[in-house]
Amino acid sequence: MIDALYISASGLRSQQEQIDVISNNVANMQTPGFKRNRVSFAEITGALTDAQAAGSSQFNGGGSRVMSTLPIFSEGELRPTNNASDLAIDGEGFFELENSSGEKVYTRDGQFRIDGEGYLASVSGMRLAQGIQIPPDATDVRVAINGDITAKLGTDTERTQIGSIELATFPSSDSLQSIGDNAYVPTDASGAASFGKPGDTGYGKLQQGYLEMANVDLVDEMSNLVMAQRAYQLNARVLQAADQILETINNLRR
Amino acid sequence: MTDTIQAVSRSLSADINTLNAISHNIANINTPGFRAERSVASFQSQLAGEAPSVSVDLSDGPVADTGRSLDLALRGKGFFEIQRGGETLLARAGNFRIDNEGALVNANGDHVLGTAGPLQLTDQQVRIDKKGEIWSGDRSLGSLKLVDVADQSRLVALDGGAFRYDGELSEFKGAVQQGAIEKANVDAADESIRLMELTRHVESVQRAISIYDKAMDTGINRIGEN
Repeated sequence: MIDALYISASGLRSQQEQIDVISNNVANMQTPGFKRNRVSFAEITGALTDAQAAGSSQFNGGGSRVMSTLPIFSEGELRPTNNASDLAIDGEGFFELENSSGEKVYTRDGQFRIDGEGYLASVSGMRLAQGIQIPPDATDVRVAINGDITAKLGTDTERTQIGSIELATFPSSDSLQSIGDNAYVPTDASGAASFGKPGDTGYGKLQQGYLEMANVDLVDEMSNLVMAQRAYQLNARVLQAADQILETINNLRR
Repeated sequence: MTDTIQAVSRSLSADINTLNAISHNIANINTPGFRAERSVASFQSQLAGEAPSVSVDLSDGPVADTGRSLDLALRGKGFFEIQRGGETLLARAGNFRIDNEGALVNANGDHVLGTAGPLQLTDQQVRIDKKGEIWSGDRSLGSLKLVDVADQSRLVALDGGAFRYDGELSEFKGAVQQGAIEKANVDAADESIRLMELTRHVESVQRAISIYDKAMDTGINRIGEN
């Protein structure tokens, strides 16, 4: 029968998903460390009959589907904030945070602050997994490019090292799962985290006083939105035409 | 006597196949690397009542810049070779990534083949030249296996943007463009026109049936009246 109805419905669904992802990207344009998502579509084909498997090409298309929605980890713009507890990763890598139940989550968002017990924590309250505690009498806290944190304690004139930040990387960071709050958790497909000092090969450098902004490009998003909207419209048009053809067939003997 | 009705019904079923092909193309208008399909009804297949065969349009689609190092667009006729469940297939979509074992895979998770088997990469920061050779600095990491098909009527589209092909392969003469994705080669204007044409064709077939029915009505019920 007329598959066209279902096929164009699948197209409508795919474009709907595209529009959802674009709106999420645009809504997070100003979210520090946000990574835009990209939808990948794929065509659907029906099961092949023996004749088709033998090479005779007959039509068995079934429309399109969303194959994956993956974050794109290209680097966002580094914006100076002059806030000593803002850190940006210039290059690859993630900060490792620990949530209240002790699970490790990973983020590119470097807006840190000092929590009630003196630990460096993200704005949502998750502490850095390295457990860096800034003593209350520390002044002039500096974070070096390689992650070492030094400060002047009390009335000392010498700097003392109070900890160092490590970065995590993943074999396939595209497959990390986003859990909200700018955080990601590893999955089977992403592989387990490996750790290194910032600035080593494969790990980015830390920049104190900078924040990495979202890597959303408004021009790209707008042009994708126009494409998605027009594609949606065209699919709806086909749906209408299929309906019209069905009606004609129903009234063959008129 | 019912020959006319049968001819008309075959014509309708060919129209429905064309409609399915058009809707499939339009549903995939944003699918990277999608190749438009045409339902080709031949005179012979119409007479025999077979479903029309499908031909794949292999012309280049538009290229969209993404700036991502593992997005590759092919220019000119040709395909990437990929491996899915031990079977070698052809694919046109070049939105690749690296999986957790360091293998270069496409969006569906199928291994991308190089001239010496499946490709392995440790780092996304690679340069890929026009011929498909992968470079890290001055060091070559392998070369993408790129092929062209000699007999495009033997291409069968599979799920997830791959083609099965069992004919002769020929040399790839196009170029690889890094940092870009090839869009579907579906022409929206062309598909819309064919859709209008089709809707009208169905209506004219309906008219033919209606008139034939009237003629039969006259022949059966009215001859000899008054």
